[in-house]
Amino acid sequence: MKAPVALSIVVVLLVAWAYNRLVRLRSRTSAAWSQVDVQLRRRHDLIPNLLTSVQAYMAHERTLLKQIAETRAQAAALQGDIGARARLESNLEALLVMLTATSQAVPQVGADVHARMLQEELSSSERRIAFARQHYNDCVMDYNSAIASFPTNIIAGLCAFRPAILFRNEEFGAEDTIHRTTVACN
Amino acid sequence: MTAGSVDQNANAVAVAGASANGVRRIRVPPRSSFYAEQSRRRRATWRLSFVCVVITALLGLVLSTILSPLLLAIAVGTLKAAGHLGCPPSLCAAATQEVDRWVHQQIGIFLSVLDNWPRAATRSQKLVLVGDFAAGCTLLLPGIAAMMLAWAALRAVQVKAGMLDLIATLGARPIRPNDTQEHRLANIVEEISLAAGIPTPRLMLIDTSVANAVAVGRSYDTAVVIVTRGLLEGLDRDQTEAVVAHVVASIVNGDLIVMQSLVALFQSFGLFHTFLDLPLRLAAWSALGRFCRAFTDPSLSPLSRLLALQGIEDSLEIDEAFTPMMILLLPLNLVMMFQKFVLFLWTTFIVGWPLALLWRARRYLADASAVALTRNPEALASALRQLAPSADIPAGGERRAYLFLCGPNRAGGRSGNLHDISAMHVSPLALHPPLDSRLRRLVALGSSAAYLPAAWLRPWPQVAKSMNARNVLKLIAALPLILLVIAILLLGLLAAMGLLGAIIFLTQLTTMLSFMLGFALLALVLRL
Repeated sequence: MKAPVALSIVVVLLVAWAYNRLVRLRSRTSAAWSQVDVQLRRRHDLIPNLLTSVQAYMAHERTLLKQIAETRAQAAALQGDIGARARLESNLEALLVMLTATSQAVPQVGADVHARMLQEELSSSERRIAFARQHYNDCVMDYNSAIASFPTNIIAGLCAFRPAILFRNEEFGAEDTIHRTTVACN
Repeated sequence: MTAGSVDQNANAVAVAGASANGVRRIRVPPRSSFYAEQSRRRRATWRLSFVCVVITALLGLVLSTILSPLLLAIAVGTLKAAGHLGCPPSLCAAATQEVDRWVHQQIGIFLSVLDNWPRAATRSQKLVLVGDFAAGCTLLLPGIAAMMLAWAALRAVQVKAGMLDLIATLGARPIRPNDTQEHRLANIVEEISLAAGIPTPRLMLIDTSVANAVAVGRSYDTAVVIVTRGLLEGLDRDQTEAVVAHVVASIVNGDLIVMQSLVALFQSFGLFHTFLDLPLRLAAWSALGRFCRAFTDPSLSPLSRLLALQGIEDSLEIDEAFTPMMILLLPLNLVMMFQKFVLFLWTTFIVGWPLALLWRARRYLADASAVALTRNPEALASALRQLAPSADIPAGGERRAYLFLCGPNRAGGRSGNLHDISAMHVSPLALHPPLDSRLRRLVALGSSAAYLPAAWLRPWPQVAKSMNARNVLKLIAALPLILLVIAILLLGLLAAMGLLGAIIFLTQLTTMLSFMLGFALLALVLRL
C-alpha cells in the first residue's frame, strides 16, 4: 500500500525537476540571445564617435566612411528580419576591418589617444560579440543535449520544447527564426 | 634548447637539440577536451568532500561526547530553575523525570552491551549487540544536532562576509577611468563575464609590483575581481584575459562556497570550544559576543565578521597562559586540552591531506574553465609560465593565500595559527598545484608543448643496457643501499602507523574522559 504511493511521489518530483531544468536552460538560451543583440546594438552606438574621430585624419577614405555610416544606419533600423540583419552585420564587420587596417597605416591615428581608445573600444566590442555568441552556443548545446537525453526527452516531447539553433560561421543562420522554442504545455 | 616539432598523435616529442646523454625523448600528455577535464575535477571534488566530511563527522562524535551531556545538563537545569521561578512544578518535574529516565535507559543499554559482549558467542548475537550500541548512541544526538546548527550558522556568517574583507586588507582601489591599461582591463572583465553569462563583477586594483589576481564575493552579483598593477603591466592582452577568466571561473564554479563550507566545519568545533572555555578564559566571552553580533546584525562590515570568526578559531589554540579559573576547574581544563590536542592532530595529519587535494582539484577545474571561457589554452599557459616563478601574495592577503592565482614560491607557512588553512604550504599539503602539473594539464587541453621547459619534462625511461660484468658488479655493490632504503621505508610505515595508533588512542582516551566528566556533571544537576 505504501510503496506505490511513495513511488508515484518520487516520479512526480522527478518530472517536476526535469521540467524545471528544461525551462531554466531555455531561459538561459533566450537571455544569451538577447545579450548578443545588446552587444550588436552597442557596436552600432560606438560607430558614429569612431567616424568623427578618424574623419580628420582620413579625408581620403571618405567613401569608406560614408559606407560605414550607411550600413550602420540600415542595420540599426532593421528590427525583425534576421537574415537581412545578418547580412548587414557581416558587411559592417568587413568594412570596420578595412577601416582598422587603413587607419593603422596613418601615423597620426596612432598618436591620438582619443582615437586609440576608440579603437580599443571597437576591438573590445568585436570580442564581446564573439564571446556573447560563444556563450549562446554553449547554452544551446546544453539545452539541446537536455532535450535529447533519455529521461528528459520524454518531458520535452510532451511539452513541445524544440531545439534551438546554433550559430554557424559568421552569419546568423539561414532560417527565418534562429531561435524557435515554444511551449504548448498549459 | 629549442622545442622540436610536436607530433599530435603520438605521445613522444623528439627534442631537436642534443644533450650530453644523446637525444632525450619527452612525453607530452594525451590530448583531452576541457569538458572532460571539468567533469573529472568535479567528480574529484565530490569524492574528496565526502572524505573530508566523514573525517570531520568522526571528530564531531568525539566532541559530542562532552557536548551532549552538557546540553542535557543545561536543559535539566533550566527546567528545574523554571520550576522554582514560575512554571507549574508538576510539569517541570515530569519533564526532568522524563530526561532522567531516558538518560538512564541509554546508559543501561551501554552497560548491558559491555556486560553481554564477552558472553556473545555467535556472530548474529554480536551484531545484535552492535545494533543496541548504535541505538544507545542516540545519547550523542543533542550534541550532533547542536553542531550541525552551529555549522549552518557559521557558514551563513562566512557566506554573508563573502571574503569581501580582503578588499580592505589588501588596500584595493577602484580603477581610474583615464588610465588606458586599466580601462582595457575593465573591457576584458566585461568580455569574460559575457562569455560566462554572469553580470559583470566589480573590478579593483592593488598598487603593487607583485603580480597576482583573486576573486572574492558570495555570489555573481556581489563578486569582485582584484588584480595587481604588476600583473597588468607584465602581461599582454591575451594573457590578462586568460588570468581574468581563471579568476572569474572560480567565482562561477563556487570555489569560495566550497572552501567556506569546509572551513565552517572547523569553526563549529571552535565555536563549541569557545562555549566550553567560557568559565576558563576571558577572551572567550568577547569572541562569543562578537559572533552573536555577526550573526544577528545584517549591516556589519565584512572585516568585523572576519574578526569574529578569527576569535572563534583562536579557541582551538592551546593557551599557554594559565588563569586562576583553569587551576580551580582542573578536570574540565585537562579534558579541554586533550580535546584540543586531538583535534589538532586530526586536522593536521588526517584532514589536511584530503583538504589540500580538494583545493588543488578546484584549481585545476578553474584552469579548465578558464580554457572553456577563452578557448585559448596557450594564453593561460604562457601567463602562468611568466608569473609563477616569481609569484608572491600581496601584503595583507597571506591568510587567504589559497584564493590567489599563483602561490608564493617559498616553502613553509607564515602565520603561527595551527589551524590556519593557509599555513599549509608544504606539499603534499600545498594548496597551490605545482606549476609543471598545471602546464601539463594545459598542454593536454591544447596548448603548445613549447611552454614546458625542457628541464621539467620527464624523460622516457632509458633502454635497458646490456648486463655485462661491470653492470653486475655495480648492482651487487648497490644491494646494501637498496636494503637500507627498504628498511627506512618500513620504519617510516611503522612510525606512521604508530602515529595513527597514538591518535586513535588519544581519541579514545579523551572520549572516555569527556564522557565521564559530562555524565558526572549531568548526574550532579539531576540530583540537585
